[in-house]
Amino acid sequence: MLFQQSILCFIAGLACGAGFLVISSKSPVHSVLSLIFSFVLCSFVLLTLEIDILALIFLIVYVGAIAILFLFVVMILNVKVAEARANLFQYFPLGFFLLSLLYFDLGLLMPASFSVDVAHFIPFYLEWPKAVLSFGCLESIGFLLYTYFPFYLIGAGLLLLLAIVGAILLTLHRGVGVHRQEVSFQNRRDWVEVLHMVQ
Amino acid sequence: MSYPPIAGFMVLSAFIASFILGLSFFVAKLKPDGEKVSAYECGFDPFDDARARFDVRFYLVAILFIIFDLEVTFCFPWALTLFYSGLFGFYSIVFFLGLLTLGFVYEWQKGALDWE
Repeated sequence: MLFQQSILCFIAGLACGAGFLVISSKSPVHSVLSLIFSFVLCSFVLLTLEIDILALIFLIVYVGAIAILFLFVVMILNVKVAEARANLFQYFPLGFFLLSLLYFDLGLLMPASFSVDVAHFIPFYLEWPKAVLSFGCLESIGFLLYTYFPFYLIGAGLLLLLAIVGAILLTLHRGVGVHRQEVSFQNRRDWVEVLHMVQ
Repeated sequence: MSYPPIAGFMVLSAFIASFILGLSFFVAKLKPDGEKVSAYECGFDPFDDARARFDVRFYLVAILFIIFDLEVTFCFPWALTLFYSGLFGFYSIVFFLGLLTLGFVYEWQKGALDWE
């Protein structure tokens, strides 16, 4: 147990170091790389806590998708050299405020809203093989998320819907006078009418 | 849990990756000059930096990919425990999928998926 905790502390410390590298490195590409490193280390932390499926989801979603989005941001914004170092601390009060909000949430609100009477959840009769084998991480999430906490699921769905609509509203603008591909028109087109012999 | 083999595999893969990467440093001759390390464009001198800016529509496609990636992720534990969670669990995720289908219809109607 102590061994596991010391490994956990070591990996978490490495993750904090990688997070510091994100804000302190000069090149934005290096920042993105250290961000990926810190995501991977966070996934290792989850793996050490034996929440294996969430660790894999972390790798898929954060490293596979979010980090690529950050790379896209770096490539879109065309920032070659970071701005002056002096204004690094001007975001400190805002960051402190957000961090204290997070701690308030994690410490006070989350335990109250996620407490569930697990003993209450035994479907109809005791299944002895299940009671002996115990559930894995994925099964536990599946048992609780869709029946006990459906509002969090719906909330996640609303957030994703908002992300779809917001991303489309922000980025999509149709150019005028741009030739667009019309697939059905293309497929309906008869080659006999189009081809001509040139004398 | 059976984590020690995973750790073994991670160490092994890190070793193989660093070994192959290190071979190209130690075995091959390294004589970098300005022409060799600059960005390569076939046939002529490079016009510009290799890190060019590009269209925001790639970003839009990536965001839309992530959203449906997460949708599939939410479906995994549901599919595993569907037998136990009953009709309520079934309809809760149907509602969730319905919300995202609404977003998908919006996206299709707006034409965010077709390329100009």
